[in-house]
Amino acid sequence: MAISASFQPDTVARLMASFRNGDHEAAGRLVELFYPELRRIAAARMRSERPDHTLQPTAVVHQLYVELVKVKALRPASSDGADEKTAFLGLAAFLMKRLLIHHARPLSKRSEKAELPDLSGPHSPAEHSLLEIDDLLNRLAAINPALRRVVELRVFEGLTREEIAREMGCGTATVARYWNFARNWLEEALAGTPGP
Amino acid sequence: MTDERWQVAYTIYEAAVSLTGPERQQYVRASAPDPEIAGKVFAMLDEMENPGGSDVFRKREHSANAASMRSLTSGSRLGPYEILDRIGEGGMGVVYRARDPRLNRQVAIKLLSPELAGDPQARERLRREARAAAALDHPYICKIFEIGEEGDALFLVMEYIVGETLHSRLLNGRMPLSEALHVAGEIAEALEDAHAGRFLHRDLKPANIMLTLQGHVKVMDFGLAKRMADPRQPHNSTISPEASGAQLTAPGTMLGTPDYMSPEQVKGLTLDVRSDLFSFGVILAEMISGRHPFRKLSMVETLSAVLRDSPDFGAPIQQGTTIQGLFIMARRMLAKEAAERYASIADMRADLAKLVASSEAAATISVEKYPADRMPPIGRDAELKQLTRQLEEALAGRGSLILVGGEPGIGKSHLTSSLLDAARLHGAFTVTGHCYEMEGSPPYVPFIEMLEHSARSVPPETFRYALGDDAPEVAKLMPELRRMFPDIPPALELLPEQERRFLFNAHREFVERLARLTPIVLLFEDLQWADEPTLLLLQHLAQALARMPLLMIGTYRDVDLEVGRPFAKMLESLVRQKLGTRILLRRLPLGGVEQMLALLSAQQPPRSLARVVFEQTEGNPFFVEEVFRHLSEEGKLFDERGTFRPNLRMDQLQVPEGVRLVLGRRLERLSEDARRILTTAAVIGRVFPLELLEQLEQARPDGALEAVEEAERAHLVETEGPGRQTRYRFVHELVRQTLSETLSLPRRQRLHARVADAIERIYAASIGAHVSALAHHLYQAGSSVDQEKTMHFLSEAARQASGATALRTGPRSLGQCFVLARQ
Repeated sequence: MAISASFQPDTVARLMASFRNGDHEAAGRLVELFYPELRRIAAARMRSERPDHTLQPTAVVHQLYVELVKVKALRPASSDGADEKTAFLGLAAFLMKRLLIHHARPLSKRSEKAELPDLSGPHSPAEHSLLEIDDLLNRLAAINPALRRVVELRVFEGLTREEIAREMGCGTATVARYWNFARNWLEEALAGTPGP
Repeated sequence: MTDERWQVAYTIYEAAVSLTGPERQQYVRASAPDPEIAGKVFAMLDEMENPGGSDVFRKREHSANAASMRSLTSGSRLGPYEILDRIGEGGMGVVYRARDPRLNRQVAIKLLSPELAGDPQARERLRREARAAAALDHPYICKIFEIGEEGDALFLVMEYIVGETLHSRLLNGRMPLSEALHVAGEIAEALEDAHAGRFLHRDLKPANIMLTLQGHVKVMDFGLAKRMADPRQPHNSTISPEASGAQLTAPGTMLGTPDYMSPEQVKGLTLDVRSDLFSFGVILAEMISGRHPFRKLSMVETLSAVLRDSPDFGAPIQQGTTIQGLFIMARRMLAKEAAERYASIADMRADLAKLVASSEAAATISVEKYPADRMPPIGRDAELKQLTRQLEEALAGRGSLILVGGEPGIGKSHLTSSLLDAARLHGAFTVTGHCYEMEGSPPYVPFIEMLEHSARSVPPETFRYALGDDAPEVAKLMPELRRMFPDIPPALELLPEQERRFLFNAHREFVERLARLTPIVLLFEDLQWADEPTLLLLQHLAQALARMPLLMIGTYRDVDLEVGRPFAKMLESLVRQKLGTRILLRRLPLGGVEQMLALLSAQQPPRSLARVVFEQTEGNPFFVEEVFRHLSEEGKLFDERGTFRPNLRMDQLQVPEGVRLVLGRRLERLSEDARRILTTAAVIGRVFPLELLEQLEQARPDGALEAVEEAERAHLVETEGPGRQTRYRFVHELVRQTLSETLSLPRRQRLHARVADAIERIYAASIGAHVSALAHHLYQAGSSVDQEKTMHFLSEAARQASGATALRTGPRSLGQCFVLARQ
């Protein structure tokens, strides 16, 4: 499976250029473009592996990066393309974290808009942010691995409660129970984090 | 919490999910090592079963309770009563419909849960309470007939009511205003009656209020519910003697909703009538806004909001003074400090009655008009943005002063009224006061207008509360307050130099108290004409704005800024001291004119037309509108299909030079009668009461009204906001001037004399309130009237002015007086 046809490499390249120059609007557009792709990759990876396979955000994002390089939307990581990779990873990490925070919020606060942090520049926390998300999901899995899986399926794949139940082979009430705990946990775990 | 503690919480959570009711409560409390973990688990369980924050969860909880109780089947007997069917369950037990064979009437029987019935002490208390509650006899209170016992069972026999609870009624969203007023009125009556019998309800909530099929209220469970045990605070032991003595159940077994508890109830303090008043306030807010002002996703958050947050009414959908008044009332009932609420239900009912009366008047006479179709201000995006930002800040408690300047017709009022609309949408209370060019107008006129408007719009008991101890001083500005509130004590005797300081401080405190009940936006129009006392008071308020939910906006004409007028100086000093920000409105560019024409005609105007109009009007929006109306009335713009004439030739348009001329032409199209009558109105002033005009046109009583209606249709005058008398206002000062200037000086003087005469006649009973207008017209009438009389009223106006401690305006009228005397 590869990048969908509607994905214009030229557009991505141009947006990436603007984004690296600090254009937040471009970042917003890129997030819109990447989200379906991330979901697609996440879903594919989870189906193709063992049923209890977990997501590993770092791996997903790196795969998307490789695919984008393949279609020449991004330049390969060379001496001059290095900051492009950093910028991209930062953006992807931001996207994933924003999704987590969005879902972790109580319903009443969902509509608050997230402000895109400054992801460009030499001190980008890109790799760090990705690892942070990995770490977060690992901590949740330590309480119960099923909690992590519910979060991944719901947040990164956007599945409904019924779909998650089918995927995990349990009842919807159980899914609700897992999700309810995970949401409360995430809300507190993310509460201290700055950014989106 | 650390992950280890989360792990513990998760284990308890998973185990507790399968339990219900008291079992669950006990399990969680027994297993959790400390209250924090227990609280977290309870919150998560609550959230899972109650995701929308509604009462669903609690209902299930009750069902679970009920399931464990002895249940009665249809046909079984309880004491002398025949059980018919089960009709519901509440916090204390299951409710059945039953028949009393002795009287052959239906009754409702509440079978108390075993936890309640099992404890001998609790039984005894309940017997006592029920016996006392049975003494309540009011048509809006559900009657208790008896408390019965059979074996272990303890049951309450009550009036059987057919209808629905207010709770289920509110599931459909907010109520129509009239219904909310009606229901609130009956709840208030019931509460007042009960309070008179020294009964507190203590658990007033929509689920305890029935709406009968006949459309009446029945308040249930009066005085029965005592302090609800809060499962989230099991260690709370600060219970007042009164509450603890009355506590009916072991903690946690009687799970009630805390959503309607007063802060003092949450804290476990001693309660009085004002606690019921708070619960009532929550219900009132819910009825009119359709949302609970404090409810959050979890109980803990709701409790915290009850204790700390200001109520959230959302954006009121309806507008108008009644809704406004209800929100002010609700806000006062929901004050965290009982001392800031109404002292009694009777006080609250006084306000409610006033609102009911005014809403009925509004429904039958005229509904307050909001120009929904008002054109948005063109080319003022940046200004509107700044105003909106400052409005938002003010709503959040950080007020400011904005001064909007520009030439006549530039759109100051248009811009500010857009903001006022927005403010009202956000639930703010908006008041406007005008300054007048008129010589000898009393000092503080805009503040007096604002006071009068507020006194009409704010429910009276609350208005009196806002006046507080400052009432005697504020009444100096508006003596009528003493008639409205005869309890206002006489003002202190003050030295002249103290007078102003006391008045200013009193007024500020009054505004501050009112602003705490509802955010306020004050609009001062035409500040260039303001007298010095008004400006000093304005400055005084401006200094305290930063910590008040109060936005002050002033408009002024920069072209009329005479250096000698007090405002010129004050503007400088306000801006210099950073007490106010200035917004200057400039003329529209060509594109703006084009946009306006497009909006006025609802189609794209030819570019050449826009250019002609732009050149004629130099981009002044009022002039653009006038020229547009002139041309379209002349039939020059549109063909019979209503589209711009395709062969529109600019040289044929003959736009007259100058807007005065355009106005003149538009006025010429009025019927001769209407124009003449309107000219008289122009002599009265920018705003004129219909009755005064009618007095001047006695020959044909309907003539005045017909003329005004004709002018209203031609967009030359508009109705002035709702008030006791019908008043009209020229849409623009230029319209009034143009009319007035068609008169020769002697004729104008003669008209002023007639106006003065008419004022004396129709306001004979209250001439004191019209002295300054009278003085103005007499003065303008010149030598055609009795000079001694003119002097008398001028000095009277001056005396009134100094009476209101406007030390420097008085002398101005006096000065005119001296000029006259010398002549």
